[in-house]
Amino acid sequence: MPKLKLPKEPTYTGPAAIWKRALAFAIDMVILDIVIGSPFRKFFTSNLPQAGFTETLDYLTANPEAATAISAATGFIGILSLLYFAILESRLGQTVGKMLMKIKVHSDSGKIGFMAAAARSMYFIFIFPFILLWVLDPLFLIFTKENRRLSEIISKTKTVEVYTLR
Amino acid sequence: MEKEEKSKWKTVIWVLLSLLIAAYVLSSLISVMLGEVEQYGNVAVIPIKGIILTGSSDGVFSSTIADSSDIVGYIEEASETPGIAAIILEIDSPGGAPVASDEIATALQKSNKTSVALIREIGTSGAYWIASATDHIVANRMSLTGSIGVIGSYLDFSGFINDWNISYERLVGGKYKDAGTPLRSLSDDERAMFQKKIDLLHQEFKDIVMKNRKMSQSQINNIAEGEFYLGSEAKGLGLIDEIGGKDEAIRYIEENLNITAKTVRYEHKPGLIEVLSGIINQRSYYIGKGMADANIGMVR
Repeated sequence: MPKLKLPKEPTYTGPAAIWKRALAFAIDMVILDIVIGSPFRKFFTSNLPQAGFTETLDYLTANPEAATAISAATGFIGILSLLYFAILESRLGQTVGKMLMKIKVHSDSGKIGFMAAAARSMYFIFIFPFILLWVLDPLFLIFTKENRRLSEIISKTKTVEVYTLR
Repeated sequence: MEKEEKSKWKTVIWVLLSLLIAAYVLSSLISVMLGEVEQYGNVAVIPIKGIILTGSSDGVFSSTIADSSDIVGYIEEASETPGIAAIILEIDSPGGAPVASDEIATALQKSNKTSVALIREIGTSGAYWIASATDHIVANRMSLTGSIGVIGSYLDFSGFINDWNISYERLVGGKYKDAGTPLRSLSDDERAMFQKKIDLLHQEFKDIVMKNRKMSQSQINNIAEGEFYLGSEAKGLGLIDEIGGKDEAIRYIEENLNITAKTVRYEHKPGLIEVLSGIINQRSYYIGKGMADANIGMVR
């Protein structure tokens, strides 16, 4: 049977829905918890008191060596998480979460490079001033016209999805 | 299109696998590099296993020697750590040198932490000296403890070398300089001198136990004849405070300090190189021992 050449549905690429982005991020966090978090879990449980915030803080203040070890482990987790986002977004334009939610990362200048992808995920560097992005990024996401996080504005990238016009 | 999708997932799997391996490597690396950092705990458990000496614990017999320098180091470290509330000495030792025992007991008394001695299989002589310096002693009902005495005995080979027509040429400055050589018998003077020193050490030992355990002179004289006691006997004699094990030691700490105890072991963790060199040393020792045994057999 001959194939029919039907006209394609008109599409439009626009900012991805916030709920889709949030869900994609949650999926990525679950994956990172399994892949990166689990190897470090034993280290944290044996080096931190299984108690409240105050007791933990007291313990770390009294044990600077343990505090250094915890900081180093946290730093490694942050860098590995950043690498997950940077590698996948620069190579595929999507992380697993984004693939499942059918959203993508675009760069203003065309193809997204590794450095731009890394800059999008700077909030995984758990030191000042990058730590501020945990507050600023969601605020920018909600209140900017194109729903762009601050990190996205800096890295000249945006998260998009393809809408079909009917 | 399907091919492109497959290739995407292939990339994802590779990235995730690489990150998983990297996370395992980094977490292991950080644990190894910061191995000397104690894991979280508020009760330090310091094992005292083997003969207590001031010497190094390196070499073939390291597993049977408790080096006082190491143990004192652990006690000081635990004492200086604000998060540590108490120290448990896990004792499995027949004793050892008086100076080594005294060094550990002194470090313990200088510590501002609550201390408990947990005597397992054996905690006699010098090991009991150390245990007596703690706030509370727990032992199994079948543990061996006590043996408050001093021993200075040695083998006298003078008869043996006479039989082989070998003589001992005595060249000394000071009449006691070679006292105790196994190549000749002790003179009466020397025997008296040795006995005097042993008696002094014994008295010192008795005084320390008497003070630490708050005993009377007659009480200590009754139990300080070098006799060892089972845990069940020792409790009645006031040598220990409680029959039990680790649970009882922890309960004592929890009740007295009103804390939930989490133990953390203070002990030397050998690295891979140390483990391997230990195996090589042990192999060499047994090869040498085998050769020596074979030669002795031939002489016989």
